[in-house]
Formats: sequence, structure tokens, C-alpha cells
Amino acid sequence: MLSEKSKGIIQSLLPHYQTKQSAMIPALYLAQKEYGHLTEEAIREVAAVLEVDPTEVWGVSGFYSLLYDAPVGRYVLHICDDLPCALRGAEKFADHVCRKLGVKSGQTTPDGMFTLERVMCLGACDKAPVMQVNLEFYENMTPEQADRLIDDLRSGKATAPSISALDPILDGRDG
Amino acid sequence: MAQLITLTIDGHEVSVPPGTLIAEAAKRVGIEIPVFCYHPKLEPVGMCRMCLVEVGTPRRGKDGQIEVDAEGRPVIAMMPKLQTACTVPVSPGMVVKTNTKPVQEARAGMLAFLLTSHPLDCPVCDKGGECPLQELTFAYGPGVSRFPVESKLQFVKPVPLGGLIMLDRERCILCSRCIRFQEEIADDPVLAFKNRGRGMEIVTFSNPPFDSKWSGNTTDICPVGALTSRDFRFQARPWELTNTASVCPHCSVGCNIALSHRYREIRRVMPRENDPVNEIWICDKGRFAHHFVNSPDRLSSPLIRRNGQLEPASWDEALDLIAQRFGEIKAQAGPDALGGLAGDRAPNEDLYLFQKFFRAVVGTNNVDHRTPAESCWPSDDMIYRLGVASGTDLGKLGKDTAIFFIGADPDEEQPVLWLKLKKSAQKGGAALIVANGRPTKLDRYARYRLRYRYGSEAHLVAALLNAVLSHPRSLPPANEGEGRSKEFAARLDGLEALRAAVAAYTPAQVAEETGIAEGDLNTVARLLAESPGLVILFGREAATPAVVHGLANLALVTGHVGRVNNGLVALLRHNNSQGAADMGLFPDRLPGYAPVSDAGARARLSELWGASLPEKPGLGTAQMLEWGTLKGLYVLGADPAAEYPGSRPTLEALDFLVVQDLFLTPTAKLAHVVLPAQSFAERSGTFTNTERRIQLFYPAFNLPLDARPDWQILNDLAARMGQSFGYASPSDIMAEIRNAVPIYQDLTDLELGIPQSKGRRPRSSIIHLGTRFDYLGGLGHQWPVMAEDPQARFNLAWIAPESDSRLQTPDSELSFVLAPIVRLYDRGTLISKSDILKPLIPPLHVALNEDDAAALGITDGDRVQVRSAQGEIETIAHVDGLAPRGVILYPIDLDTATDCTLFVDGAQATRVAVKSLAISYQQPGPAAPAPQVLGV
Amino acid sequence: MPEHIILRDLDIPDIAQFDVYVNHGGYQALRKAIKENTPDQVIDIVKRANLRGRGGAGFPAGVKWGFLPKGVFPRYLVVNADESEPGTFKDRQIMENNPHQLLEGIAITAYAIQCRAAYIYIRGEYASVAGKLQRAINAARAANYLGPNILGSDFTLEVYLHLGAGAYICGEETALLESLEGRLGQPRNKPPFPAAVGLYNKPTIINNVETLANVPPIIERGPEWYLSIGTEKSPGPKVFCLSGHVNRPGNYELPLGTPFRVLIEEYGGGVRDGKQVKGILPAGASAPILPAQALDVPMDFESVQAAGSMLGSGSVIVMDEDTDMVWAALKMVRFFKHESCGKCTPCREGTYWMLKLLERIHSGKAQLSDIDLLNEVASTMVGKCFCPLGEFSVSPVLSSIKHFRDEYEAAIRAQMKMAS
Repeated sequence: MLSEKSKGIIQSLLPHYQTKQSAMIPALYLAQKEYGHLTEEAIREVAAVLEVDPTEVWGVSGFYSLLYDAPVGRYVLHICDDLPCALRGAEKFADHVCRKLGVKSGQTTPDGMFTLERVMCLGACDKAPVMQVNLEFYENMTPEQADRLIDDLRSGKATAPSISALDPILDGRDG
Repeated sequence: MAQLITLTIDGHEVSVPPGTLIAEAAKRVGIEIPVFCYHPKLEPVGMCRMCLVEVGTPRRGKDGQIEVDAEGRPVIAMMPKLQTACTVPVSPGMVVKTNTKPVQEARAGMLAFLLTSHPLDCPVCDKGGECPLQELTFAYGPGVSRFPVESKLQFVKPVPLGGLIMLDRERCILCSRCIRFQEEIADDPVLAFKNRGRGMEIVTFSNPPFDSKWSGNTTDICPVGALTSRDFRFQARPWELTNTASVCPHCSVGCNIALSHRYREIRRVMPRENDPVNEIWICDKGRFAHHFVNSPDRLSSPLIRRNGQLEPASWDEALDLIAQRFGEIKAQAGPDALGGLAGDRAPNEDLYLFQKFFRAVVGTNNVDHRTPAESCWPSDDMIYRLGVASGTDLGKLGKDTAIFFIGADPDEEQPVLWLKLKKSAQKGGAALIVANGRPTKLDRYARYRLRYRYGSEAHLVAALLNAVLSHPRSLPPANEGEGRSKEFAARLDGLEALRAAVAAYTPAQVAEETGIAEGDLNTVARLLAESPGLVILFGREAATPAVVHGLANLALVTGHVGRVNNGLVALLRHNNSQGAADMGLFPDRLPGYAPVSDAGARARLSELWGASLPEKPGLGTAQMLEWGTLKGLYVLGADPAAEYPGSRPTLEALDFLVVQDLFLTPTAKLAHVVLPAQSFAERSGTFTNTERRIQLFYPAFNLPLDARPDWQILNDLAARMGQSFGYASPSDIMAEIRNAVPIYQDLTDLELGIPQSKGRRPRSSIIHLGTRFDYLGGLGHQWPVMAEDPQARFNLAWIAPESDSRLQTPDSELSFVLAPIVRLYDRGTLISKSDILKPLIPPLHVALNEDDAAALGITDGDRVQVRSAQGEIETIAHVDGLAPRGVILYPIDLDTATDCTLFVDGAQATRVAVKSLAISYQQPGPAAPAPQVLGV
Repeated sequence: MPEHIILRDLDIPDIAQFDVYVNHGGYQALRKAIKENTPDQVIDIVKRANLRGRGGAGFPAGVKWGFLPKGVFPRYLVVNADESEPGTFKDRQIMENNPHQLLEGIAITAYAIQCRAAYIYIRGEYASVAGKLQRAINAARAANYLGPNILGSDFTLEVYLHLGAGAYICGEETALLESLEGRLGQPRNKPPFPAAVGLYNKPTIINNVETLANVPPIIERGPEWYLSIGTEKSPGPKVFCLSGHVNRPGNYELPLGTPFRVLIEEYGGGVRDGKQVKGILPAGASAPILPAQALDVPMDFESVQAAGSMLGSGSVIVMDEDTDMVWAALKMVRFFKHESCGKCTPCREGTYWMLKLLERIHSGKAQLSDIDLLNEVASTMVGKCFCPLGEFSVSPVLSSIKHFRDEYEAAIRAQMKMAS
């Protein structure tokens, strides 16, 4: 069950829009944060809140790359290796992080800590190589910096925001 | 009428209404523009890009004038890009080129793209042979594939999309027709695209998957073999099938269908186009419930009871025995000791002959087609007098028509009728008023919803009458509105008496009784009074005599009869309920509704039939099934032993019982002679639908059964009893019906149609409707009602609302209303032979409101006891949002025995008490017993 | 450039803070618009300034605003902050470092088109940017530059941030609207255009972040001043995103019409390691590659088009002499294949087919005829796709074959030689 808090947030967002369905993406972000990914239950709950058929929600969840309908790690690492970044060594950098984590793009480390995704442009082409940890930017990265960041995240020395992209806005609303 | 727009397509000039799309305009001049995603019944999306054409428009100079060349012809500016013919509307002077090199290259290119990942499995694809993709590839596609074969996407071969439909994702070209059908037409948005780009696929996430009564239609409009029905998969290649034009034998909408058959077996049922009846759609019941025809349970020869056992016999033996026994009973006890009960599924010809047999050969009026409880339904001749005027298309009602709908859930009872009302309200803008004690899917499109308390329907109608009669503009004779002249008011008898009778039922006074606010009733009354058109539809849940007469009065005093888009529609139960009434299957009415007491009518028929007719009204169903009234009974296509178990002692005690049916029904098991009848697929005949449209169906095949059509059996039996009818075919009988039944006299062969169905036409249909069946027959004939006669007079008969006292029980223990509801998938004899539909038939249950459930300590799925004044049952409780407070919804025909246990008089609500049995079954011990039926 | 008009954070580092922005004349343009001008006058000023859309199409903003059907309300303003084009990162800098100028532009535009609700559709990957922007909205609202009865007038405006969830196609304005309404981000048929039938089927204006950031200075200093910057047909400052093989990648605000060479050499510090330019992508992945000969083409909408490409969003990706152009084309087609929404046949199937062919060529398993096939597949797509994404996707293929066919042939021949 979605927490009352999340339901409350969704309710607070509904007046922003003319239709309940408009709150689809924010609601899915919230559900994803609670469940870790968009489970069947999460899909049905969001559908009920937005008063749409669950099929509609299920379809939307598959269209967007930041919505996950399968489990992901605690930290989702995005490395852009699109052309502008690749021109500045992003492919080698991404290869390095893959080796470091022992996973291929799209895979999650066996301990469930990290999911690595080689992604399309992140809007940081001038600061390549760039990595996002749960959507927080780490720019002009070196392999050494990446190693250290991963080690720190694993050991708890460093933290990153939740996987909900909505959190920064909600924090911004509150503070 | 808007001015037509003239344009040129490949040099052909064509004039079409504004807003017409190029693809449709091209169709008019016979030019094929290939499409995949476009479908005329769906909103255009322009996704597949198959219909790209060159388009130009007259060039305008700086002065805004059209430029002309040296010869005075407009200079055409061709658009730089190709345009999608399915999304661009025509404009004056437009020039369209559909066969240029760029267009040809575009078509070949799009086909090459569509085929990149499409498997070449046409030889094993059910669509092969009638596949638009296949056809268009032959017509326009590249000769070779240059896509690297190792890069083709592969999916697990077909996956079930639901209980009825399979999805082959490799074949899918992602045109979204199925998704849009479910959204725009069915309003069950249970299909969607998931993922994006080449990873996109069709998914469903409803529970159960693909939860829609319309799912089969997606296989019709799918332009490839991606969606196939689990029923038809691998049953036959389309070119091996013979297609026979037919009419759906289930509900009373009368959808036009084609039976696709091979080796004397129905392989599939497809819709046939008939725009005013079913457009191009059918529901899943109509599509998948055909298996009864080829059921191994069909009776294969006559049976005669010998030494207490039913044993096979020859037709001669059986018919001789019936003639002998009927003759003996008639001689000993008189003709009125015999009676006939016919089901309202049989064709008109057979029903006509059935009553003729009893009236002319036996000499009794003891014939009926109604259930014991239906003696008021549909108030006999109400539709004959005031039915919706001929020419009305319930799917094309517009802003100037109001629709008052009361007491049914058309989505479950008559899905295609639901579809049409939805379309009229949603697209046409008709003002839909839905009055019901519970929510239904029709509510979504209602402008006003009247949620009355069960039992107060007649008060609601009386209050509407009261309000309408106090409305200055609508009230005859003051009303000067269109078609509602003073002259019309002068044709009404009993207006002042009616005014006096309804005076006590003001909207304010009935507000408490009905639960509907005074203001709401006044608003609706004003709408009904002021609307130029009004169609009133009523269903069995509300149709008491007081309600039906009240509705008739409502139509009359507002002048809403006799004109197109005005009048009454009864939601009748079976495919030929209307025909059964028309054919005179009443103990007190002759064919064409004349009372048996009408000497003139009797004389006319007597002359036609060459026999004298009994004057005395006969016995109705209820009386015939009373113990001791009859000695011999002839049951044709009905099953009283199952449907009204209380009649079993009577049936068992009869001297002689003849049952004519497809199956050895519980009634047949009691019979002395059982006669195997032919199904609608083996013979021809006509059905008359709920809108009074007479439609012809054709024989598809003969089965290796020793079964005969009902009419032939009656014909032969009459001969044995001394009257030679001499009919050689149903059309002989129809020729006589035209003389015997005045309302059928204008029926022409042309309207009934030509016995042809060319089958799925993928190629020609590309610019038409996608794969569907061409319609080559007539559209049927809708007979006119009495109100269409400008001389007809009307009597405003009044039945006081207090006559509906069934829910006003003094027994306060029975505090709940038990409301019977109809479900599309029930346990009727015909549907239960269809294995593919069986999983969709719910187990017996009752549904109740969350608040009531909480108060009673009932949770979803608990066993409960339901007790009416008549009996009690145990069943499962569903706790859902559909039951109003204080109401228990009970789906009928899931278990006819329990139906009869609880209900006093069939399909009318009654009072009950409910209690939870959950606790007792939670105790450890032996497994919970099967639900026990008590009180039978 | 002496003074930054859009990237004011380069001159005033803390301008993201509300107080700093206000202290440097912030929100005065909004005050001026509301107090001194009718909505129509504001539209007229922007029309006269010929502010051309900075999202890529270059359509005059004021003209677009004028398309709104008269008397139809409510109307909506939707801010396209779905910046997802490879090589584009200008809107992010504006939103992160100069958010109030955007908000002021939004408020003025909303006043001009008389709408009461504006939605900023910001890509999901910019979640952290969105957080900062939300704070800026709060600050502006607290000071009554947004919210009810702005500056005591009867003009009310709520600005809502709406996060995307990872889909390039949502930068296409109608796909964005679909996404904002909670559906798959697949584009809609045009016509009707959003100005007539947009968000919730109501008249809607959709403008890019940078476009709106141009509005306050136009109102403040007038159209004549604005027209004095840039070229006659492409006036005003433009933020160019410079990336790839240059020494100093980043955002550079220059007048429209500045030649590529100036951007790359003067501002970008030239190509890394002293190498030569081989190819320039002037608009991210979406426009044809230009060869080095185009270095002196002025970066304005008309000139770049005349040179055989498009200025688009002004995202200049520089590739040096060692760049494998088959690989570069493969990278870009991979992007489009990944981002194709799947709605129309040519884009959905064509991007997949092109990618498969490019992979085959790049991995050396191709035949020479595959180059023609690739060229043909791309050509078949041209002009037939539902929306610009599909049309863009062929640019890297057609232009790289046109200018660097020898590299394709070499890639295939090298393998053929090895095989024999």
C-alpha cells in the first residue's frame, strides 16, 4: 500500500492540473520511491488514485527511461556515452565503471547496491565524463574519482538522494 | 446541408462534404489509398504513413486571389512533402495524386519498413488469405527484403492477451487500431502500448486481462495476424471457409453476422455490416457462443418414452404418436385441455405456425411465449402502439433528441444497444437520462442520472408525468411545438382523468419515496417536455405495468410518438421476443395484436386459414403450468422445468408432454415425445429485433442429425391431424404472414436481402473498414407502429404507482432489497456449450455495498445466507462499489434453481435478509460444503 | 561580448539568488509590462524584436503568441525545459544559475497571452536543477512576482514544475503535451496546432527556456536595442553550447551570426592537441554534419541552412581530424533509435534498420553495397516521418555518407582485405 504521506502528496499535486491523469509521472515517481520499482501493486494503486485503467499506467511506465518496472539497485548510476561525451572519453570511462562494478549496462550488482546504465545525453556535454548517482550530477569525472565515489557509497561514507526524481522539487516546495 | 467541396484526385473530379478526409474522398471515385492505421470508425492518427499522397492546393497571390495560368486554370502549388490522406481533409480545388513515383516509392518504403521484423509465417498465419499487409505487399511492396535477417526482432510466439484473444507480437505492426477501438468505441481502455520505438508492444493490465465484452472486434480490425481469437486459431484457412449470412441468435439487438463454416462446422462468427443495427461490431457473446450448434449434445433423433425410458424412434412413429394422443385428448377433454408453450428464440415462421397449429388445428387459444412472471411484459401491445417510429437509428440520435433510459444495464443485456446509445450521447450530443437503482456503464454518458430507490420506479414516472403536465410549453393542447400540435392532443383520450390521477404525485411529494430531489425531477421533466425528440427505453428491472403505462403516458402527453426519433423501446430478452409477440403467441391476441375477441380479425384469419378459430381467450403460461389445467402440452424451445422448477409437478402429471428442442433439457427429460429441432445455422427464417426490424438468416449447412426445422415438424403434424398446410419452405410461411399479420404486409424480399456473403474483403476493405464482411443483403424491414398512423387515437390508461407493492413488505426483518441483474455471460443453455466462454461466467454470488458489508460483518468472498419471503440460499458475497446501500445485487441465470428459490415473480426485485456465514466456515473441520440450495 | 544578456551569472555570480537578481534590476521588466503595457502591446514589442525561438525551429515567438484564438480561455503557457539534444546544455545553465530571468520571462509572457497557469516541463534527469528552480519559484511567489494579483494587478499566475521521466521525444511540443497530460510522449497530429488546441485541448503557447529568458531584456530595453544585436533576420544574443574536441567546452553567449570559427577558436580555445577540425555538428545530433570548410559560416538560422545544415538549438559539437565518422554516425543513430517514440513506421523501423546497418559497417561485416542501402533507407525516411525526430535521425547518416563516404568504404575494405 502506498503510504498516506505519498497519497497526500499526490492529492496535493492534483489541483495543479486539469485532469487527474496529468499527475501520472509524479505519482509514478512517488510509487517508485516507495516500492523500489513499479510493482503490479504500485501500478494498480496509482491507477486507482488517478482514476484511469491500470493498463494506461502500465503502458506509461514502459515509455520513460526513468521509470522502472523491474527492481533496480539502491543507487542508479547513469553514465552518458553519447557522441559529445564519447568525444571526451566517456566510453572508456563507462567501460571502467562497468569493470569496477562487474556489471554490464542495465545490470545491477549482486549486492543490490548499484544499477549501471549507459544513457543518452544528460545535458552536461561540456563536463564529460559525467555520471549521475540517483540523478545527482558528478561531472568531469576521472576513473579514480568514480572508484572512490562507488567505494564511499558502498561503505556508507557517501550518500545520494533517493531514486525519486520528485524529491528535489518536493524539498524545494517545503524549504 | 453544407456545400460540397470539389477536388481532383488522379484527374477525377469528386465533390464531398466539408471535413471529408482525402482517403474517404478517393474511395468515392474508386481510388484505393492503402492504409493500415486508418479506420473509418476510429479517429485518424496518421501513424503508419502508408497513405502518403501528393497534395496541392490552388496558389493564391498577394491579393488573396487564386492565381491562374495562361489557359485560365488555377495554378496548383504542390506541398513539398507527401501528406497522409487519412488525416488531411479536402479543400476546394485541391489536387491529389495517388499514383506518382514518389507515392509509389513511399508505399514500397513503408511496406519495407513494416516488414523488417514481420515474420514470413503467412503459411501458418490465421490471417493469411485475408490479410491487408499481405495484400498490400503484393500490390505495392518491394519484391525483395533487404533487411538483415539476423536483425529481425523475435518474440515468444503468441501470448494470451486475455481469455479470448492471442497476441503475436512479431506480427504486430503497431497501428494501434485495437487500442483505439477499446478506448474510443468500447470505452474499455484495457489495451495500451508499452515501451517505445521498436520495443513497443501491445499490453493489457486489466484484471482479468483484456477485460472487455468487445475483444473479438479487435481481431476483425487488426490489419495483420497479430490478434487472433483463441476460438478460430488454426481452425481453417480463410479461403476454405464458406460464409453464410445470418443473424445473431442471442439478445434482441439482432446483430448481422456471418457464419464461417467448413465441414459442417461453424469455425467462427464474424460481424456483417448493417449500420442501423450493429454498424460493423458484435459482442463477444455473439462471436463466441456459437458452439451449441455443433455441440455433441444435440438431439440426433426423435425420442419416445417407452416403459419409462426415452428411446430413439423414427419421425413417423413420433409424429403419429403425437397426432394420436393429441387427437385422443381433444376428443375426450376438448381442445382446451391442450396447450402450447413456445420459447421466444424460434424464428417468426415457426412461431406463427405454432400458434396456427393450436388455433386452427387443435382449436384452442392456449398458446403463450412469456415466462409466468412476464404476463405484463412488454405490456402486450405497448410497442405495437407506441414503439419508436420506423426510421429511427438509436446510434445516430443527435442534439435534438432526448433519451430516457430506465431499468436495465444494456452493457450486460444488449451490448450493441449500449454501444449505440453511448454513441448518440457522446458523439451525437443526444441528452441521455439514465434512471436506475444502481450504477451501470451507461451512466458515464448520461447528462442526468436518476438513482431511484428500488420499488419507487412507478412513483418516479408518475412524478415526471405530473411535472410534464404542469409544464406550460409542452402541455397539449397549449403546446405548439414541432409535431406536437393541438390536433395531436385532440387524439388523446383521458387527459383530464390522467391529470387528476397524477395530481398527488408532485416531484416534491415523491422525493422521499424515490430518493430523487424535486429539482432534479423537474429538470428532467422540462427536458423531456421541451426536447423535439424523445426515445424512451425500458428494461425488465423497472417494467411493472404501472411503470410501462406511465412511460407510455409520458410519451403521449409530450407528443413524443409516431415521428422518427420518438417512441418507446422495450429491452426484450431474446433474439425473437418481438417476433413472438407479433406472431400472436398470446392466449388473448391473434397474430398482429388483434384481441381474440375481435370477430373481424378472427374472420379474416379464419378465411385465410380455412378453419374456424376459438373465440375464448386461452390460458397463459402461468395457468398452463398450474397443476391440473391441461392434459397435454407442447413445448417448443422452452424449458419450464429448469426455469420455473415449481412447474415440475404439473409437467410430470401431464397425460402427454411433447418437447421440441436442440437439447435434452430438463423439460425434455420429462416428455413423452422429444423432437429434435434444427438450429438457426441449419435453416432459414426471420427474427424480429427489439427495434421491430425483421431480418432474414440463411442455412449454413446440414448436420448429420435426424433433426428437422420447427416449421416442418408442425407442418407434418398438422397434416397428420387432418389439416394440410402445405408449406415447402419458411418463405412460403412468410408469404402467408404478410397476409395474416398486417404490420408485416409491407415487407419486401429486397429488404430481407440476398443470401450472400462474400466474406472478409481485405483488399477492397483497405479503403473501407479494415477486414470486415461486405454486406450484400438488405437492411431488414422495420415495421411501422400504430402511432405512425396520423389517424390513430390513444387512450391514456392509468395504473396507480401503489400497485407496485412488492417491496413494501411489512416484514421488517427483510430489510434489504434483492435486485436481480442480468449478466452477459450466464449459464443459459446456449452459452454453456461454449468452452471458451465458460471461464468468463462468474460463479453464483451476490454483490453488496461496502457499508452494508461492514455493518453485517461480511468481507469480500465470504459465504452468506440470503433469505426472501419465499426461500433462502447460501452463496458468496462480493463487496463492491456497484451495489447501492440497502441493495443486494443478484445476477440471474447463473443458477436458475436459486433464482426461483428467492424470487416470487421472476425478474422483479424482492425483499430479503442477509447474514454472514463466514464465521462458521472459518472453524476447523471438514471442508466447507458446496452451496446448498434450500427451500426447493 | 562585453555584457551577458542571458548568461548573466557569468557577470554576476550569485544572480540565482532572488535578492541579487532583484538588486540588479530583476523583475523590473515584469513591472513595466504590467503597469505600462496591455497584453497586446507586450506581444507587439516581442514581435517587433523578432525574437526567434531558441529551441531549434527559430519561429518568431511574438507571431506564435498572436496565433491564439481570440476569446478562448483558459489558455496555458508551457515552458519547454526538456533539453535533451546531445550537445545541448544551455537551458540547464539558465535554470540553475539565472532562474529568475526565466521566471520573469514566464510571467511577462503569461501576462501577454493572458493565461493563469504555466507549466515548466523539465526533463527528469534535471531533477536537481528542478529543485533549485522550485526554490526560485517559491521566492518569486513570496515576493508577489508570481501567484495571485501580481504586483497588485488583477493578473494572477501560478507556475508549476512538471518533471519528465526520460524521453527525448518530449522535447517535441505536442509529445510534451501528451506527456504532461499523463500519457505516452507521442506527438499529436498538426494541425490543429497547440496555439489553437493544446494542453487539455485549450489554446497553449509552448516556448523554450532560452526564448523566454530573452523576454525581460526585450521589454526592459526595447525592440530597437534587441534588433541591434545579431543579424537582420536573426537578431539577439544566442547561447551556443560548445562541446566535443575543443579545449574549452561550455556555453557561450554570442550574437547570432557569429562564425563557427570565432566560437571554436576564440571562445573554445581551438581544437585539442592542436588538431584540425574534421566536422561540425551545428545542432547536436539533429542536423547534418558540416565539413571543416564550413568554419567561416555565420551562425544564424539562414546562413547555416544555406550551408546545408541547421542552426537548431545552437549546440556545436566539434570533431577533430582523427574522428571516425562512421562511428560518429553510429553514435547518433543509436541515440535516435533509442529515443524513437515508435508512433510512426519510418522512424520506428528506419532508425532500427539504420542502426543495424551501421553496426554491421562499423564492425566490418558489411559489403560495399550496404552503404547504398543505408543511404537508401535514410532517404526513404526523409519527408515521411510523423515528427521532426524521425526526420532528424537521417541527418547524421546522409551527411556523413555525403561528406565522408571514403571512410565508410575504407571501413568495409579494411575488413575485406583482412578476410582475404
